[in-house]
Amino acid sequence: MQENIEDLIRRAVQEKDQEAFRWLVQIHQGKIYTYCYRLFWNRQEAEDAVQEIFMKVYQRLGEYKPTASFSAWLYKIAYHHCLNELRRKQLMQKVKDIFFSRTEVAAVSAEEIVQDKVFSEPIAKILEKLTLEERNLLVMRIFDEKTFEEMGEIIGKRQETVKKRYERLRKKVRNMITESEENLYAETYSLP
Amino acid sequence: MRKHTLSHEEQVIQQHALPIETDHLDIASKVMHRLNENKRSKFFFAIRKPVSVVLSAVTILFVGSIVAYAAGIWSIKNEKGDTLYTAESLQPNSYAVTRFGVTAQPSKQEQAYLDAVNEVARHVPPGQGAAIYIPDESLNPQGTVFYVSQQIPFSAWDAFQQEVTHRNAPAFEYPAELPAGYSFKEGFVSSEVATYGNEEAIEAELKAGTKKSGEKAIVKEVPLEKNPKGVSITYANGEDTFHYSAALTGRKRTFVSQQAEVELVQAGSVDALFIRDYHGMRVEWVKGEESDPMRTLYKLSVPSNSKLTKEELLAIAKGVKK
Repeated sequence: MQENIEDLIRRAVQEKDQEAFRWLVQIHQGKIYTYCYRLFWNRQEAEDAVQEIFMKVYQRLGEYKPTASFSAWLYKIAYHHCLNELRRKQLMQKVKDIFFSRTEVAAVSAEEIVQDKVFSEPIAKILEKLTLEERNLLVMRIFDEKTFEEMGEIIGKRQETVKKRYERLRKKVRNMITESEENLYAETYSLP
Repeated sequence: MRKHTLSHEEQVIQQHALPIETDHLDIASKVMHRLNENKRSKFFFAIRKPVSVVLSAVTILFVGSIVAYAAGIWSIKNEKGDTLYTAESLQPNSYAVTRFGVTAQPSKQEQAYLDAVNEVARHVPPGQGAAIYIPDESLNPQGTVFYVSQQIPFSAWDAFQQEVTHRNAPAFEYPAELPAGYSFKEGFVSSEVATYGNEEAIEAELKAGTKKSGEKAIVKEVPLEKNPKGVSITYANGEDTFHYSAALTGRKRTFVSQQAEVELVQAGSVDALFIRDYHGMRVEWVKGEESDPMRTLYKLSVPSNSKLTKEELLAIAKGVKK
């Protein structure tokens, strides 16, 4: 029988029970991995991120208060980690010219990333055009099926704000889908 | 059970998502292994940090201009056939390009921002890390906080070796035979910034600080990790130089420009990748499996104007030993 999450947390924090923490990771790793994968579009990056996220969870587990949902608390850590990581990598790409030709010390390459196929065409092309924050909202809402309340809790915004942002995003995506379909139609019927 | 009803567009998007395989995942074992390793090394909270940039001495692999498609993957494998390290040519539709907008040149705004960060980072003393925040939205629209670590340079081999011992750096291997005329010029023992997972608090503090003070840039001192993760050495013969580095890393890939010449070669007893493009030549190899916390990436590189030949570079690589 699967142990109660709160009980696992209590054992991990109060009794320093590593097996309890292992179970917590085991139970949640799949969901957090798919969330990260859909943000990174890269399996290796996603796996690395999940490891880092659970290391952070271990360090902060004592701060978790049972008044909030553990899942939302976990997603909050995952959300901040992924966004920070993606922003840092984005910036690293831009740094290259400035530091090029300097001496090398344990250089980290932000380019050690390969795009995997996470969405089929033409949706992939549409999603590529969204910002990180927009893609995150979409992933949380559509794939993780979070409510606006949970999404607000995770990204640290009021439920109403999240709802408004999401509605704007939905309209944007709808227009992009329509535009993409129209282009496809035009291409199909303009063939000689 | 579904928590809410999806609209038509949402369903369209959901249907286009390809299945994600999770059966292979064993994050729990890896996390527990790392936690136990950290405990053993009495450095419990020193977990691997998000990437930090060593400003004083770093080359971020430069992939060059991306103008056409080119596909190429070169892999180093172990006896069991598992891939240990891969070089891949970057394509214009690759993740780095489409997602992060890799371009040959940063935009004016990005260049101005990086110039500003670089200017601030010059004042960070050696042996110290820092978090830098520039609030000007025209320079830094994403509000990024930049972490830097300045390493202490050692210009004598003995002093460098003392530092290696004193700081208990991992037992890396070093070039044993140098080409005629080359000698040690400068070395660093490198550590990452130790943010201890407090990035959010650090960033909030910096942002609050600039709001209050109205400063154009704010810098917060961040300690460096006690345990070094790498070493880097420059060897020189007059103006001619080559660089050597060894670093603990889980990194499994390197990217090369589409024009690069890549070849699998031998570095002593291990397989290595030889890469030549218009930036110069380099040889890279790894020691240790993916799960090994001491997995080390070794690199030897020379700039394009170096007098060293490919054969000489490979001879240095072959002579790297403990």
